[in-house]
Amino acid sequence: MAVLEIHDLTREFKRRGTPFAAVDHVNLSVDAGRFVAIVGRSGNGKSTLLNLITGLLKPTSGTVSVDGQVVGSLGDRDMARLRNRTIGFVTQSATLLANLTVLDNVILPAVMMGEPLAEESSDAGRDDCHPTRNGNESDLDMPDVIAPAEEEPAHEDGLARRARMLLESLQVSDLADCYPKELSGGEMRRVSIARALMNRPKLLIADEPTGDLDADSTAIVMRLLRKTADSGAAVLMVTHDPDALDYVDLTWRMDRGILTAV
Amino acid sequence: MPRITLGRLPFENLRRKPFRTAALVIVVTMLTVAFYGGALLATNLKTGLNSMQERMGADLMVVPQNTGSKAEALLTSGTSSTFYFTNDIVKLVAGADGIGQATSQTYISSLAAACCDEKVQIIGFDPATDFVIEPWITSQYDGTLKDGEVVAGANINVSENGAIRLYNHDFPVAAQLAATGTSLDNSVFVNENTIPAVVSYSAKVGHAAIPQEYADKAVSAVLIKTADGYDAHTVAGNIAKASGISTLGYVYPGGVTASTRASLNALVGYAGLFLAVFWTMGLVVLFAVFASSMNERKREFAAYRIMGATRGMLVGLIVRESATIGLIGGVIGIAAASLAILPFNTLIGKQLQLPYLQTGIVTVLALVVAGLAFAVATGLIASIATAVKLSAPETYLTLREGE
Repeated sequence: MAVLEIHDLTREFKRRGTPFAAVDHVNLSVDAGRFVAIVGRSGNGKSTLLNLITGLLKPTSGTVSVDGQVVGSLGDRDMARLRNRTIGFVTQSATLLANLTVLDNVILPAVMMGEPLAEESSDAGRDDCHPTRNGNESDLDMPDVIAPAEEEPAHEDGLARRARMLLESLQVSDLADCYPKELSGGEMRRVSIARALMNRPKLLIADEPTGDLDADSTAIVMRLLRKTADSGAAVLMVTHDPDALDYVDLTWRMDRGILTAV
Repeated sequence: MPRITLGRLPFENLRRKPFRTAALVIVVTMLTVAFYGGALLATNLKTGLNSMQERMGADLMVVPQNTGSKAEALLTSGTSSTFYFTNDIVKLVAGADGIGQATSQTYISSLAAACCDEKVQIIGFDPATDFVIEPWITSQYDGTLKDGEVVAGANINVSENGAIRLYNHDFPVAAQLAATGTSLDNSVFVNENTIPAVVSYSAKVGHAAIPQEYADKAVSAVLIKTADGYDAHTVAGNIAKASGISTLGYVYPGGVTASTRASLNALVGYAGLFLAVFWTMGLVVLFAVFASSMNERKREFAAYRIMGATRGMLVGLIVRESATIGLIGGVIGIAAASLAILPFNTLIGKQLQLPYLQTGIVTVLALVVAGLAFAVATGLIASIATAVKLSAPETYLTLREGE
């Protein structure tokens, strides 16, 4: 079943008074459990496409459907709910909140709508993004450098536990109490990914998620995204990184706003 | 530490940007001091004026030649004075047409006394005919003022043994009056039979207030309430004719009140204008600070949208931040202005040379509430345009602007 469906999508901008199509009549469908990559040179409309999908930009024409809901037809409240509960978005630029700790940054999407996620406390121990924690079910895809999660303080609730597990799986759990300005670019990127996964999105969108990362960190992130897809989410990634393509099911190329299969 | 909530977010934002928060709070504090302090001063001046008007009682004062300004100063908040007629003015005035009631008073300015910072105005009145002092005194003292006793104004320090020392003599204090905000607060009242004794005590210390030969008949002013249908100026003309003295001085307390009120209104008007200009400037500064800080925060607001914040949530976030700044600035401003004004009423009244009386607690509380509302509203007005702008529908463009 397609989580994401894009039909004849176009977005025009004006540059020095002349209109041009940053996204030009794009059609795309991503099913649940699929990991799709889009490659292409800078300035060819990849980020614009992702922002159209998340409703952060409005299309000039065409439609985007996420989990059966047509993005352009939703009101502000419904669109906000869709972004919060169905879509996880790792932006190209750092969008961590400078005034919150890493842990609070990751937790925030879960408290944004004012009502807890249904399974937040009930399945706090189940984590589809985290390697098994009891050591009996080893995950061969994950590097063995991931240490078993520490026992969380008793007062922490399900949200904090989940946030810490996500940070742990991205090997940045020791930074939970730091503020973003204390992090490197690569660390911020990994925290952003943890934040995008916090609400267990059905559609994960990642704009160059390995842009600031070294080879080892890239491997960790890509395995996590692969695992996210394997656990049933649709994952759409824009990347310039050839190593990242080893993990995807399908690759598309975007050139001057036009999307073609590789 | 409790986990982050949407409600805690504005406070985290303020806490983590102490310099920006402090700058905004200082601006709001300054505006609140100007607004609340100005309003409190203006209210106190008006209360003082109303009090003075209530204490006037008479339509016309007949005073000796060239003493009109001294008498006016005595009515408002000027220095104390001694002046008196050397003739039987009460009898001369009594025959004039248009007089409803008339009573005499005697004014003696004491030497500096232990009780007070300055000279004390001693006012002798005639309980038999008085219609000015007595109604006011009896509202707070229901006894009869005996010879040799005094009723003290609000600012007079009465000694522990219930007396005040004037001309080296202890006068028992029968009662002390509530504040009026006028020079009457620095006065002591005696009945006219006590005046010769006061003169005698003053002579004993070598500073005779009035020559001994006039001691028992000295009158400083005749206060007149006109009969129905008579204008104070007409009655003054009648008095000049009846007494045959063309050089009498006349003071019209109603006119004094009117001119004081006019001065006060002009003062309040200028203060209001200054306040409006000051507030506008402050609002522009706040708006600029909010706008520039919001420009810096575009990426942050785009992040909220990406995480699923509605436009209403973003506006609510900014509104709560600015309202918190307004509230903190308002509380500090009101506390600072209150500390600067409330304990120093006497000094302020003296410096202003205008009737000044601290208004009641209910009015002060109403001004506090208005001051807080003003401070919060100022913060909200300054931020609301930015809030609406930042919650623009196309968040991606906002994000790009913030990069």
